Amino acid sequence: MKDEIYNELKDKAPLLSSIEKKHLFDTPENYFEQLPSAIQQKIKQTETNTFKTLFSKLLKPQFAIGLSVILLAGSFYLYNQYKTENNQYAFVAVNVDSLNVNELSDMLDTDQLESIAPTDNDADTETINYLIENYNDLSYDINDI
Amino acid sequence: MNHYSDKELLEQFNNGNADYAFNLIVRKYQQKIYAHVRHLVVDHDDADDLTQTTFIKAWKALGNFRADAQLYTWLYRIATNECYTFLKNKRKRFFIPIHDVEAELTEKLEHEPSLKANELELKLQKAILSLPEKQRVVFTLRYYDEMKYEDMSAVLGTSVGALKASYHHAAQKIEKFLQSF
Repeated sequence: MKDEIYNELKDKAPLLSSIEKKHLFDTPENYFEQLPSAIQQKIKQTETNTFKTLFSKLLKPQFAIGLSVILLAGSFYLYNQYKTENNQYAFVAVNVDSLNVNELSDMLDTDQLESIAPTDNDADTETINYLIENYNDLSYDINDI
Repeated sequence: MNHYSDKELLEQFNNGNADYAFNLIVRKYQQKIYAHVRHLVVDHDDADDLTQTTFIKAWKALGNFRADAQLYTWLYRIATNECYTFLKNKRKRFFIPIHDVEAELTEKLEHEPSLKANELELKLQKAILSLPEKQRVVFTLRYYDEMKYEDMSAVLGTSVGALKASYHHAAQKIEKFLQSF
């Protein structure tokens, strides 16, 4: 590389190419021995400062007001949502007899419907079988159980 | 001086050994980055600040560093951009026209106690400072850092052809400057 650079210059800039290249600028004693630890120290300082700056920004009045407005708006939204859902369940509870299945499924979410609707008939079948096996009185009407 | 390759250092950095690996990266490149910055801003304190800023920025971004890019050209890129920003801010802060920042740097150069240069070498430094900013960076990277044009292209985001032309213009201007005294 050195030769390539020298050859590049020797015809076009003979005076320049004749100057011997060397480090012209001195540095303070032990500068390069101390520089890595100075950099590491600054990095740690910067990381602490970033956290402090973020925290102090949050404490500034304009940020505090902004944050309060956001929290209030969020609380209001969540409260309204909760209220609407509760009203819907109250309506369903009062009018459950007059509503058909489709209307019910529209008003309640699927989880709610599953918890209301009987999904497991095995328990009933087991009970009936138990009664047939253990009660010999055939006059007993099984449907009355 | 450590003998780890950039790839090995990056692997160590990403595998939970970040502090140690980064320390080795700093030790490996600090002298080159400092020298590059010092040629552009002349003053030791400014060069020291900019070198530290370069490595701090590198630390912050190293987690997202693409393995296909070269670590050393990436560090040079950060350092060069820091120098551009530094010189731009200097102009803005003092409302100095462009050439005056260079005049200020030349003045600093003449009174720089840490500069160990003979008359011709001092002239060369002045000639370099008389170049337009981008040309100065191109010349410094090629002449002092002996960087390949392909790597310079990665540092400066300029085509190899344009860099060759820029370097030759710079060399001719410097030659004229040296001959005129």
